[in-house]
Amino acid sequence: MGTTAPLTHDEFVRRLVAVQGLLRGFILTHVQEPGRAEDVLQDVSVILWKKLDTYDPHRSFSGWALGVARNEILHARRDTARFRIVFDEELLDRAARRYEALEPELDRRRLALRHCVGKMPEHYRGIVEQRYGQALPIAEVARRLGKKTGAVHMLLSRIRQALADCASRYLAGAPAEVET
Amino acid sequence: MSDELDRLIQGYLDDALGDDEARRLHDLLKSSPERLDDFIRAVDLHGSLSGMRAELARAGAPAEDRAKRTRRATRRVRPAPSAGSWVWGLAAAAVLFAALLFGVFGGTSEETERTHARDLQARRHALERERARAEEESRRAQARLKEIEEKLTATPPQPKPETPVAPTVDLAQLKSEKEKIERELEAAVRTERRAKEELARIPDPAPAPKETPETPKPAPTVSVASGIATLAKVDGEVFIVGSAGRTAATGGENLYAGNGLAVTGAATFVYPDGTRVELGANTEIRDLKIDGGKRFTLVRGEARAQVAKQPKDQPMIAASAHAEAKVVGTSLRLVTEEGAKGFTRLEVTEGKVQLKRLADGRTVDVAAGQYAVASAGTELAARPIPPADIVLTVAGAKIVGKDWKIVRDAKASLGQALESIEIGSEDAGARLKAGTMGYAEWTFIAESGRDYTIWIRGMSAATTSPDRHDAANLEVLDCKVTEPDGPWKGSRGPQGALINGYGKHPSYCWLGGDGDNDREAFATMLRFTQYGRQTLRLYPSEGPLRIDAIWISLGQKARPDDDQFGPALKPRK
Repeated sequence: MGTTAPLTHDEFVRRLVAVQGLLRGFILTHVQEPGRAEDVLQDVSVILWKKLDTYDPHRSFSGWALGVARNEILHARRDTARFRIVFDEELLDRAARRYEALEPELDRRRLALRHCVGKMPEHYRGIVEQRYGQALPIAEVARRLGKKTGAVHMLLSRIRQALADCASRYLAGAPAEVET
Repeated sequence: MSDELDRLIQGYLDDALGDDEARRLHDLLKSSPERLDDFIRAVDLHGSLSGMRAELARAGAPAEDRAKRTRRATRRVRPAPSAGSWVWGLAAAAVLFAALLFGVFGGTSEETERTHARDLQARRHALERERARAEEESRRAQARLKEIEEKLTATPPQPKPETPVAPTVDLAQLKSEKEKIERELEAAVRTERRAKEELARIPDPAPAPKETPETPKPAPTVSVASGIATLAKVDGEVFIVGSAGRTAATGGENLYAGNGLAVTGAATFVYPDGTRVELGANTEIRDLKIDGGKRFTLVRGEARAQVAKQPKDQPMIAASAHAEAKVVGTSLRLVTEEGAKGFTRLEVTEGKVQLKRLADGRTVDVAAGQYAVASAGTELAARPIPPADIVLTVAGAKIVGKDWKIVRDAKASLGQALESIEIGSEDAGARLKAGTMGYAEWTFIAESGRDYTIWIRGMSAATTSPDRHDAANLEVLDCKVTEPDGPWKGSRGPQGALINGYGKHPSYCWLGGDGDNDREAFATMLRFTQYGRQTLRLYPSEGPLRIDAIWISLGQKARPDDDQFGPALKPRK
């Protein structure tokens, strides 16, 4: 179904950029491995571009994008060799709705997170840089650090929790440091 | 959040959950919207960290390590097709830009902001220098490669002994230098692209106008790097498809990593090593690459490639939605069709190519003279390529019954023809139905799933009323036979056709169906259900009729001239 006033190229790009974080997070709720999630995100971005003429500019762009991402995840999940299926379709739909509802809060949290990442102590930064900067699997990070994978997992859990706490404090206007 | 939920969520993020734990997490999230929200916040943080890859990689340790990491990360991320690349660049740019804005408006210290901006500026300058260096290296390498190739071409491989042995060129040395420069060239191209990609992700730190936060300008395209091939030949409409859209091509243009081509006529592009790819009509390719080996994706249509010898660890890959053909050096033809019944067909004319079916990862080696098809529901196997034109003559006919005989005929292509008994269509129909009609039978190899036309060269052998003695019934086993439009269409069943109308011609002519009343321009189509040996039978319908040859073809769509003897037979003098 076309629309009489489709988005301009610039406006589409602006909106797509604005929802990248939202889409990435949503995709990660169902595609655990970040590298694969990035692949799906790229596919979703391309599909959004191709389907632009079906978008009604009077409706929520993020809602539309989440709907496309949902379908793409369902499509990708059929390839069970690539994607581990953890959640069913109903939960996928619920997550899409909640993502849309939480979008303003998540936006603020992402900005706060940037502040907190800048405040990370050096020994946290190293492991985060390997896991997320280089997108290394946990096992590889463990090998490089000479630790067991369980220990790296525990450390990453602690770092993520510390970053989440820091972001919450930041949004609450409290002094925001990353506690170790 | 409960400890259990927290533990499960953290386990989920690191893919460390067993099946039972995953089910438990699933149930917990379903049981409460608050839990689902907690989960979403945690996953979003995880995703945000993944999205900060460039910053995190930059923020790490020594410069050399950083460079290595950036290369790895760049390789790992699959380049997005067409629009995806610039979208990606923009996404990363926006993320960084948001960081800057956050610094300005979000309340962080001015010093932090200035430091961040200075870092970005320094990184940008370093990358620009790196890119310029790589471009220069790439230019030098290409120029030297050209020199070497000219020398190699000009140097006779085996100089005759009597040739004056003036300054001889050491071929081995030249080839060795060529390989070395090719490696350097690839490295330079990679470096240049990486620098451009990273540059595209770094916003210009100069003070931005007020409206910039609302409408960030598109970042430089990240897919366009050094030219990796040249569009050597263009026929009809050809478009280069890049991140900026489609551009009409006239030939001679450079093609860059990430480019695609949309061809309505034909086009040929050539790589620096001489590898040549010809694209047929209505063909589209995308994602040209040379990183780790030449690569392109055939979206639809046909590509023929003559591939120069490639390094063993960097084979050329011609991909499609169904399969990947891995080539080290050979000639091949790749055809793909989209859709639910889509397929990819590979034909190899020289060398050997490995075809991988993407649906299940199975591979098959396809040697010269063979083909293989990757699609749902077909066996992945290499088979001999049957000829595109099959000509059946009297010499190959097996006569069953007494209704056909071989006669001498100077006008026939081999000096003899098949002649049917004198019979009318009603009698012939009754005997055919009763199973008592004799026939001439041919067997031959043909492919399944392709549309062949059939043309039969014959003439009426009657001395009077030739138009009443000029028909035969065709039967092709295990084949869908589609007759052209006419009053008798379908009357011979799904594997049969009426061949009729020779009496209007004074001598031999080609007909492909019922040619009465100006319908002779159209041929019956044959589509075999199985690859391999096929069987065709011809029964008399209105005789006496003479048959000279049968021509089954993938390419002969128009009725052949009456004096043409088919592709495999030379005209008699």
